[in-house]
Formats: sequence, structure tokens, C-alpha cells
Amino acid sequence: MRLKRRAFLKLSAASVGAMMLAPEAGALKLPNPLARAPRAWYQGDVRTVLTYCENCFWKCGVRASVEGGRVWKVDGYAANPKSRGRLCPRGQGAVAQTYDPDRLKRPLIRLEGSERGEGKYREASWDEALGVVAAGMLAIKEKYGSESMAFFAHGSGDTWFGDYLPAAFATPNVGKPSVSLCTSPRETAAQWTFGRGIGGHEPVDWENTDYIVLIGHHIGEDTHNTQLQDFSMALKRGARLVVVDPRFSVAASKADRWLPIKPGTDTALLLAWLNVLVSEELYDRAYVEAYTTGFDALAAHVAPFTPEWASGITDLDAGVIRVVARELAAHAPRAVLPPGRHTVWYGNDTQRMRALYLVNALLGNYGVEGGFYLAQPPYIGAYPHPAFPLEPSSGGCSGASGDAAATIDTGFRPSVDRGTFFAKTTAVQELIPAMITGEPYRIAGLVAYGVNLFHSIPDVARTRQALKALDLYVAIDVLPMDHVMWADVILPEATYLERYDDLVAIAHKTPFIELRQPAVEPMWDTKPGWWIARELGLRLGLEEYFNWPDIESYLDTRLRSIGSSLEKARQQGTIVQGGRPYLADWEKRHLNPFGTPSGRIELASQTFADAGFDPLPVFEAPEEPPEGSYRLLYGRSPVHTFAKTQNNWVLMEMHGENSVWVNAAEARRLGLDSGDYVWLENQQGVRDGPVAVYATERLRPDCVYVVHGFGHRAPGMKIADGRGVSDTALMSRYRLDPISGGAGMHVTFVKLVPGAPKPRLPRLGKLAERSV
Amino acid sequence: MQGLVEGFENLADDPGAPYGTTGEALGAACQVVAAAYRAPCDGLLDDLRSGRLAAVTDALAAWAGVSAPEAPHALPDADALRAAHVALFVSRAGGVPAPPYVGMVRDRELMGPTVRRLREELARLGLRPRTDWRELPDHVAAVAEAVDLLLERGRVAAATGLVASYLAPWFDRYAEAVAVNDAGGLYGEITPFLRLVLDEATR
Repeated sequence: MRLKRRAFLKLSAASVGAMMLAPEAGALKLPNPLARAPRAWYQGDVRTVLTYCENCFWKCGVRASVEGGRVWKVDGYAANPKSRGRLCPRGQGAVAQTYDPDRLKRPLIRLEGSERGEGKYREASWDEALGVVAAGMLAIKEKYGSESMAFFAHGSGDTWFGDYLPAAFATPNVGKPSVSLCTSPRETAAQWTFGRGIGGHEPVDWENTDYIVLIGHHIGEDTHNTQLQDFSMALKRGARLVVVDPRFSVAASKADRWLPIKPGTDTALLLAWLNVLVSEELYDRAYVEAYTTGFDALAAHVAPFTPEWASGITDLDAGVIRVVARELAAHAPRAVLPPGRHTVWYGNDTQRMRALYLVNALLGNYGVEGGFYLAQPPYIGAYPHPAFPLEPSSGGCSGASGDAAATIDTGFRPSVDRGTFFAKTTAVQELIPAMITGEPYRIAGLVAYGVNLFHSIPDVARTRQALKALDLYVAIDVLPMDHVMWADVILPEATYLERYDDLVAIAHKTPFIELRQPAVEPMWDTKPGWWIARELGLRLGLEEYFNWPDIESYLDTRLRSIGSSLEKARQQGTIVQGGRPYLADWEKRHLNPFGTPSGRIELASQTFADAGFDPLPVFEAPEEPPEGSYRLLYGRSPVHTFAKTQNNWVLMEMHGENSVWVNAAEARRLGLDSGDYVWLENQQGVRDGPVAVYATERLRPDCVYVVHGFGHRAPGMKIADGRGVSDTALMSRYRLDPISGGAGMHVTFVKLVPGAPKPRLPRLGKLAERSV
Repeated sequence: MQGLVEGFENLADDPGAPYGTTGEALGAACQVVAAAYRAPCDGLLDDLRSGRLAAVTDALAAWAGVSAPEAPHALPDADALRAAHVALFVSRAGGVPAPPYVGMVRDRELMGPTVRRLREELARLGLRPRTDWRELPDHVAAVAEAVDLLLERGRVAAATGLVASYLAPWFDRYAEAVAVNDAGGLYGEITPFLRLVLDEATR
């Protein structure tokens, strides 16, 4: 008598079985698994896969070590210009995300009758889930027009959901947080000053500079690998460093001078430096004459802005302001004020960034060794397909920042934020009101790819209201982030170690192309972004744009346009091309790098004047905090990326909770000690926390500071949930930059409310073991 | 008892007939695990509606000398069953109470050394996960199916070894958590029940 397998229970049919007989015969005896010592992975047959990292967006080339179908270690790849063989903690800790048990595992559909935000789901097949999404999108297109679908995207897969699919579907309502919540002021300002963007890899010629001035630039805390390496080497070489920051940051701790500026007054300081450079004739006259226009207007404009004038505004000593200007000039052109990255502060940020660029221009450092090099993207052909009905509109770190009137696509309604600011790009936060008000037309559907809607976009209450008003909300992500569990359909993406992506082209001194390739098969029923986009495209009737049979063919075709192939690239990982980094390289070829209307660096912008903006930067005094409140400043942790990595136990063991920095004297006045827990409450009564106090001399008394990314309220993420305070949750308002569309986020004021209980949370080590 | 259930050679068409050997009982228990712990589909619902699954659990209870669970006798609510499966094993506020992977018991992490060892052992036994199995190789349903396959091939010792090393420890570790988080539900009842059955089978 014996039972036959797959017999009495229908489910165990062969089609859904888990196991199959291997062709080879098995051993007759089962060895005792406990009797043998486990072999270390590195003693096995280790395979190395070259790809690039996604634990932040610096895109470092890495080597993944794979054994037994598992990635065990990730290291920097020496031949890659981003990592140069070194990797930050986030990159090295990335493996923990791939093997995070909290990952989304298969498509989920919200249970009928449940509300968005309740988090009640059932599993679905990909076919069913994609069918539901496609049907919803087509219904929206039929009822309101294709423009009524919005896409928010972030991460290296955002090519597919921020550019390719939306352009094929024909919607201009595409937003990337990396634009209007981060870099748009510096990009827009650079475009209209130099005629060139800055780009994702800031083209600062660190290796040749002798004098560096950082303004609110948290290098060493934002840990952009190459930049940190370059910065460290510059200091080692003897470059002098000035840090302008209300906080004694890590960079400030390395500086020759720390200028603890009053928040919101940076433009006044920059105008004063311009004043000194002009009035003392310290600027590079030959460079200004050769490459710029508008100097006379600038000189007249800055004449009143003396260091003494700026001193009363900035709380900085006039003598120090003057000395720094002179030191800058003495080291020019090997003196540089890098633009930083997160530049959305007060809502007048494009003008501040213009002021910063004008100081650089007067130093004669743009396109010159020791200043800014001229980054160029590598050449790589596109996969041939018919022209998209709309061009991608969201921009990006290096996206177009031209004016809105320059190119308006015909035949489709413009994006719902068109006309609310000057730049051509969209602003992700400005796409949200149309979901609620239906003005100028309704946004009825949203696909959120890799964007944490509740931890990146200010005014979270408005975002939640908008999500409730949608006909269709789809989230594509790796983890059950706060906002993901509001979606109608959740599509689980494979992690970067499990997938191909589109090729990434890095504008650089030596431009290069990076390949992302899978080190292991996707776990569970997760899929790569390209696959999800393509399958959706096919279901939406967009076959002509997804006319490639598989990703390998797509990549191979593109790589063959530069004489390479997918096979070669898989072995090579990174393909480096030649560049033209300096003005002299361009002039030899009779080329002009300045893409401004005048073909020169525009110190005064006629375009801005024509659009009703100041042609030269003007200081605007920031709103003062109410009595008893502090300006909320925020920054980065070197071991975390935004709100993406707080469920990674390796990184959380290094930094598991943020604290609120408070000036020590203020803390004493409030009766608070380091380690006390408080609530933070903003000017509109919104409260978040509890968060531990860190009383310190390292901060001015008029502001408080937290590291961004903590304070998740995502019970599906067992490690991240409930640790620390969310700065975004406290940002009930922002101030729109009318030029770039950036959302100024340094305009929140908070009170410290004492008496908050210390959160009773599981110990991180226990959570890492998943033993609670 | 209606319906011809092929495969019960000496038990004719009665899935609830008593088991003569430990191997038979173990095979039936593992078939239940293989059927119920992967994502619930129409087949499981049919097994519940037809009473086949209840007949098996009743027979297992009689064999092990323990109380039979009531839940398999109830008419299933498909949505509730699927939601319970997601909340217990896939994704849930607060984290899933019972990650359905045998490697978690010893390694406290996914795809750790236990999975590698399991793969190697399965390979030696002539088994490997199907390429279209969209779960991890150490999912309890997959391990249970491997045990069942081995029993079908008469490899009782090997099958029992797999249960003792991998499957039973998972039930020991997570049975209570599943019972607490799905009180009165199918999983909440059959998980502690199967723990007792597996204990009996590997004693």
C-alpha cells in the first residue's frame, strides 16, 4: 500500500508543482545535514558579475560575488570611474535588501470593498494584475484623455516609467522628485547662465582645485562616492576649504573656515562676494571679456551689496566675508563653489544658484582646470522605434531645463503644471492639485515607481487626499513602503541585483556607459521594471514602441551602435569614451560650449527679464520663525539614501534612528537634555515623532536639524517602522520657485514639545534576526 | 465517498481511509502542506468544498491520536482565505508572523546557508526546484512536495530526514504564531495540527 503523489488534492497538479526530478539519479542515502560543517561561500564556485549599484543614485560600478545562486558580497569595480574600486556602506549593505523578508513578493490587488490605505490585499497573477492596470489606464484615456494618467518615478529604472512608457502612452504629466524636489534650481540656473546643465555627476574639477567653498553642501554626509573620494584627496593635497552652513557639518569639521550663516541669507553672502570681486577688481577680466555678457549690469547691480550690508543680514563678520572673497580670487581659477545637489530651500533658489554661478564665472573657472569641467554625455544610439507622440517631459538631474514656451508639443494638452513656473520640466508636487481639483483638467490615474510619495513630497495630507480621489493608483516598488500599501494594484519589482535596466549614460570628464545586468534570478514572482513596462505597453496597444523581443536584444542593438555588444559589455561592465573637458578642447575644434541665447555666459539674463524675473539675483529676506519656533533644517545620513534604506538591517545597525539637533543653550532653556524624547509640531499643528534630542554647540540657535528619511509609518517594513521623525511629515507647506518649479522646503517652523515617551520598539539586532 | 482518487492503491477511492504506515501518513500530511501553504488557488478551494481536505485531516488526526481541526470542514470564503494567506506569509502590517521558508528557522535570513545545503541535498536525491516555481526553494510547500516525491519513490528514510531537518522545525517555530494570527481560520487550525502530526511521524 502506498500513496501516489499528486493524488487526492487537486492543487498538487503537476502544473503548479514546486519540485521536479533531476535528470541525474540521486543518492540512495540522505546525509545528515547537521553533521557537516557548512562551507563558506567564498570557498565555493564564486562567479563575479559586473553591474552598477542602486542603493543610492550615484550609480557606482560594482562587482557582485555570486555563489550557489545567491549574492554574498558587493564591492567597488576598479575600472569604473564612479567607484574606482571603492564602495560606500550603502553599496556594500545592498545585499540585505535583496534578501529582506519584508520585500513585496508577487502582485497584489486591493480587496474589493476595502479603502485605500487599509492595506487589505490578495495575491494575483501578473497577467491579472497587469490586465487590471491596463484596463484602468485605457478607461482613463477613453474618458479623460491620455494626459489624465500621471507617472511619478525615481531610481535607475525610472527610464521606463518616467520617460519611455509615459511618452509612448502620450502623457506629459510625469514627475521625478530628483527634479523639483532636488536639483531643478541649480539646473535651471546653470542652463540660463552657462547654457549647459550640471547633470547627475557634478562636473567639479576636484583633482585640480586649490580652494573650495561649500554652501549648504553636505559632502561626507550625502556620500556620493566619487565626490567624497575626490574631496578627500583635494584636502589631502592641501586645498583650502570654507563651509557655509548654519550647522557644523561633517564637511565643516574639515574646513579652514566655518561660516555659520543665518538660514536663508546665502544670496546676500554671494552678492557681497560679487561686490568684492568687482569693486576690488579681483575678477578674471580676460575670462569675463572672452566668455561672458552682462558684466556692466552685474557690476552696477552688486555695487550696494557690500560685506557690511551682508553682515547685518547673514550674521557673518564683514571682514571674514571680504577675506574669503579675496582668497577665492587669489586662488582663481583653481577656486570653486560647487553647486551642491539638493538646492530647493526657500523658493527663490534659482536666483541663489545664479548668484553662485556668477561668482564662479568671475573667478574664470567654468571650463577651466580646477573649476568646472565641461561634462559631456557618451554617445550611444537609441533602439529604433517610431517617434513617441510626446517627448519625455520630466527632466532629471541632467534633464532639459529650457523655458516652457520653447517647445510645446502639439496635439496634446500641456502638463497640468504648465504656466505655474518658468522651466520646461514638470514639478512633481505641482501635478498633485489636479488630482483633487480637476483643474486645469483632471489627473485620474497615477503610477508611482520607486517614489516614496509620503517621504519625498511636502504636504503629505494633500497627497493622501489626492490618492483617495484617483480612479486608479498603481505602485511599483521593492518594499511595502508607506504609500505602496495605498495602491489598487501593487507590482513587485526585482532588486537591482536581479535585473537588467536600460543602459545608463554618464556625462563626465571621460563620458561612460554602465550596464546593469542580473547577478541572480529575481526572487519570488518579482519582475524587472523593463518587463513590467513592456508588458503594460503591449496591453495598452503600444506594440510599435516596444518592438524589441526581449531586453537582451534591446541592449545589444544599442551597444552595437558604438561597436560593442551585450556580450562584450557583460564582461566589461563600463565602457569609457573620450571627452572634451575644458574650454581649450572646444576651441581647438572651433566649438562653442555655451548654449545660451547669446552663446556666452550670461551674467545678466535677458531671458529672465523678458519673462518678468530679475535678470540679476536679488536677495529676499526669508520669513522669520514665530516666537518659540525653530526653522526645520534637514540633511542626509552617510549610510542611508532618502527614505529607501531604513528597512536594511545592515545599515540600520549603523544608524537606526534620527535625532533632532538643538542648540545646546536653547536646549538648556527648554529644560531638555540629549536623549530626552520630544514631539516636533509645525506651525499648522502637525506633529511627528517622538524623536530624541541631540543638544549641541554645532548648530545655530534659530534652527533645528534632522536627518531625512526616518519616521516611517509602514508596518509592513518591520525594521523601518516607527523609528525617528519624518521631516516630510512636518512640511505642511513649501514655497514654489517660480522659475525652476522647485519646492522650497526650508520654510517649516517647529516647536519642541517635551514629555514624549521613548518609543518601545524591538531591538534592531533582534529584528535583523527576524526572531520577533 | 464519491470520486475516484487515483493513487491510493489500497485505499480505493477514500482519502479519509486510515493509514497503515508512517510513510502514508507523512505523505498525506505533506500533501496537505504542499497544497495549502502556497498561494490559495481554485484547486485548494475545490479540495475544501468537496471535503477531500477535511477527510485527509480527519484521517491524519485519527492516525496521530490528536483532535482533528474543524476549519477544513467549513465552506471556504475564498477572499478571506487569500487575505489570510497574504497576511500570514506574504506581506502584512507589522511584518508577516510566519515567513514560510525553512531556512529562516536556523539562519534567521533568507537564502542563507541552510538553503544552499537543502539544494545540495535535494540534488543528491535527484530533485530540484522547477524553473517556473516562483517561490524560494525552501518554501515549506516545496519542501513538503519534495518529501512526498521521495515517499512516492519509496525513499522513506530520506523523506523522513528532510522532514526532521527542515519541515518539522519550521512548524515548531511558527505554529503558535500562525495560530495566534489566524485564530479560527484554516491556517490557524491546521498549522498547530500539522505540527503534531509531523512530530508523530518523525518520532
